[in-house]
Amino acid sequence: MTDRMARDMLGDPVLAQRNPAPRIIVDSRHFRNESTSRINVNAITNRLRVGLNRAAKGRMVFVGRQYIDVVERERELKRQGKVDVATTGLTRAAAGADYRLVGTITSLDKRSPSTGLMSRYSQIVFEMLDLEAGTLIWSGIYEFEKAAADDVLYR
Amino acid sequence: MKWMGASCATAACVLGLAVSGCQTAFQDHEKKLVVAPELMNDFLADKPASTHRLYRNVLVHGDRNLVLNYIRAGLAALDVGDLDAAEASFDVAVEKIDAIYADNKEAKEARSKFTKENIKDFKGESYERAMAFYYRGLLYLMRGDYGNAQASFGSGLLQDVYAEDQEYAQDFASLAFLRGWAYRCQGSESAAVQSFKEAFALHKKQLEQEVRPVKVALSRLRAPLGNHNVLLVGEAGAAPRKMATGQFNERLIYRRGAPHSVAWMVFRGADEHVAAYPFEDIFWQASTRGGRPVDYIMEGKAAFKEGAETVGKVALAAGAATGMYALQTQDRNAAIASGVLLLGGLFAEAISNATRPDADLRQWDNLPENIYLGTAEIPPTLKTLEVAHFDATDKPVSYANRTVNVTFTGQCGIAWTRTVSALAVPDEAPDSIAPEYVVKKDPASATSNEAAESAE
Repeated sequence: MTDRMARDMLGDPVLAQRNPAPRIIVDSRHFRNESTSRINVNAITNRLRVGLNRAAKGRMVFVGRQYIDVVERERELKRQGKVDVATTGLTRAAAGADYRLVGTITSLDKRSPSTGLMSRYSQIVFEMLDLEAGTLIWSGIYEFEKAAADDVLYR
Repeated sequence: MKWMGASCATAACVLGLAVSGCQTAFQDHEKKLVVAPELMNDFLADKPASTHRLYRNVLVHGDRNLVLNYIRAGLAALDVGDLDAAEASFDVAVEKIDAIYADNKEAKEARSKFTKENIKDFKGESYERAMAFYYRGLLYLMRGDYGNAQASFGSGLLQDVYAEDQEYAQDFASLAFLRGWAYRCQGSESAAVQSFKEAFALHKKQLEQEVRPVKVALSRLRAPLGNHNVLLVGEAGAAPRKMATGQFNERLIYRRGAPHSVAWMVFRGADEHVAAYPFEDIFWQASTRGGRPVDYIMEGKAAFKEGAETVGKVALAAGAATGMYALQTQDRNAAIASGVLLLGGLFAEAISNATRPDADLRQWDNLPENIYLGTAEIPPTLKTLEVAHFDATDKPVSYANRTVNVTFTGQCGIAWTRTVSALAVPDEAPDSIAPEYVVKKDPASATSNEAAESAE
């Protein structure tokens, strides 16, 4: 699913063909689990970020907002002169972001008491939120379904 | 007379073999495994010491009771405040409960006339499965993982769909309320509103239908206000008891655990005074489940056992009468007929004795009887609350007041307490295993007979 998402995003001109390249935050902070599946949302968003970062080849820039504490500490040390400015120079502020990935996973579950058949239709919606205008510049929906019947002894 | 002696000797031999081979109280799968000491020590190393007597059963009972032992021990770990051990235990349990058991060898064997139902891997009855998800959800709330908390409470609701009377299916009001709370903490407000609505509709239905020994049902719980940031969860009373009824103990029924009179609880801080009201009756959840499909299998086994017993008795009586006649008349043919009837009768009796329609009585015995819920606005700086208990006439109930921690990990806090310690149970769950002296070696875990015996 994450590979498909990465392909979808890279195929979108607003995201992948802009000059300068858009800055994007991809983390789990605004990803909501409203389904009955216990999931590790970090596993999904991390995989997506790594996949996008590798495939984008500079067409998108990813902001590591989840590491902002680390960045601020290093910037402070540099400005206090406790460490040198390193090789990339100083910037006025840490990078702001143009867009942020938000999303929701929901599910529709059914269990038949007579047959023990359990089915779960899951739907994951990811959207790219413009952090200045509040508009959604890209949306993707991914669905999958599982069904299985338990043994009669467990019904 | 030689032919008569031979006939009787054969019958006695068959009887002896049949009875000694088949009529044993415990079947092979119910025996304990002998576990090497080093394996046991490794397993127990990261669990709280007071729960070791419960956790050791995970290895000693084997896979058949894996879920049962993890949920008992995991609840005890939660009660003594070891969240890591509790989480690991409930993770294993809910994963197994959620697993689909199709083409499972033990499940097939449990349907055999000659094997007890309790050979199957324990997943618990619907209420026990739902409660496993309830505790997993509470643990997620304590960690501030609201998405997975609501998923757990939602999965718990799904475990409750198998009621024979659909009126009682998926009616765990407390799980719906808790799911709403987790949704709210996550910021999914519309889903929260829907869940709270569902919770109060289910609770109202319970109040209309329920007949209770202690009239504590009139709950005054309301949906949380927008400023409420702490969930208060109380538990009181003892788990529902599983019992067997029917001619051959083939039918599963429930009885209430030891009675209690807690009608509501109060969580007190320096300036706080928040009530938690009853919102779930676990016995009611267990007892309104109705018939299970497996009950028909057990009834079939019982009917077969009764039929074989009747055939055996009739054949033995006829064989004895024919034998008496043969003795009196010295009739060779009558003697042969007597032998055949006796043999047939003994065989039928042996078959009857070997048939095991016993209902599976393994039970999660450290569950509570009632769940109490409340919500409040409490400053995140407040770390502990005192809990007091009251009966239906608002008189204090003589449980020791307990100090409970308020856990704030995310934006919502939670305080959880219970009147009965989760450790106040025997080492082993009722009807879960044969007594200590009946053991068998587990080739995968025991290093040698000597090492294994010293472990015991």
